[in-house]
Amino acid sequence: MDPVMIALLLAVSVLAGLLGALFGIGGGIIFIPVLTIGFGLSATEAAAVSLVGIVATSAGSGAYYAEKKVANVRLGLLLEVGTTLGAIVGAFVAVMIEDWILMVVFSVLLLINAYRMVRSRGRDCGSAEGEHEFWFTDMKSGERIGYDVSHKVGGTIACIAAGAYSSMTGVGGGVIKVPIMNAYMGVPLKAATATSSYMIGITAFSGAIIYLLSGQILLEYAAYVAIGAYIGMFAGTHISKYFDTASLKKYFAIVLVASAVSMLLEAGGVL
Amino acid sequence: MDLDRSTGAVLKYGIALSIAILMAGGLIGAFDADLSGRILKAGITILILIPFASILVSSAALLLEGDRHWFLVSLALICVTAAGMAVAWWF
Repeated sequence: MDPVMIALLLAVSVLAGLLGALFGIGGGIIFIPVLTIGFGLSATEAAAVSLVGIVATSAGSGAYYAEKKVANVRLGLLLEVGTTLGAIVGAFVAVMIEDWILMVVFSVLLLINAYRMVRSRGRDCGSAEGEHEFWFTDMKSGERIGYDVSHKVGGTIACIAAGAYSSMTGVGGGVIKVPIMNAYMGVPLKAATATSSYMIGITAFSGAIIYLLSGQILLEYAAYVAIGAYIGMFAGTHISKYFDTASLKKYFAIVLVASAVSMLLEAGGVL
Repeated sequence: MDLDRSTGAVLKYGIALSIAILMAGGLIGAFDADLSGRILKAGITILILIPFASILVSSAALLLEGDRHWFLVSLALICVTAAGMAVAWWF
């Protein structure tokens, strides 16, 4: 591969890894258009390489957030049951429903969630007092925050949609999982993004292993994407310590709007 | 065996190992393309298997912690993940 192309691929992957670690997304919304438009890969090749990058981002940031006890591993395991089921369902649904219909539906959902994030910027779930099911330490304030997870069954069912979307598009589905955890299940945003960071690797694994076994992963591209995402993940996890909840909500809302616009462009055949 | 620490350790050391192998594969590519390809494939394989290994370790940690409810959840995830791979491979 051309050294300039390697440098570009590494730079894009660093950015995707950074955003992935900060917001609990895999970076697929960055990898897919860049790999298809910028590097001329087919949709299948781009999805395969993107999934490897998502696993790298998730493994690195998931390790950091799990060891700091910000990610809720138990909740992640539960929601991944729904997500993985969704990924299986998505593979079948994809042949029955036009992609653009689903993309428009998800885009609307993301825009609604972005609006809700901005509206609720000054407040978040969880409290430092009383008895709670789960606790985590806010890395910026050092405060111990407790929270109770509600709608566990409903949240797991909702994650089926995230899994279906992930399997149809080759992205991690974090932009859907984080709002489900935060707005519907009562998980504080920082714990939700950290848990999503851990989860997206498991979601991506199911797809990536198939691409690996069928020999569809472009090894050189995947290697540079993984290395870049790993470097970006380091930066992202360290920057996350300086974010307060209000800022995180504001920036996450921007990520949601960008994802929705990206999906609408893809649905319209522009991307 | 702490659930968070053991899960984090599998992810942390797994990704560090796979990235080291990928970097070695990339460097060797300047001298031997065939060997480089084999090393890159090994690195990518290890990388992709990390999330599944973390579920197995989480499941073992929950079993050792005596957390029966969440252990069953982790077992369900292992079964669903295995079923997902089987279905995807079949089609």
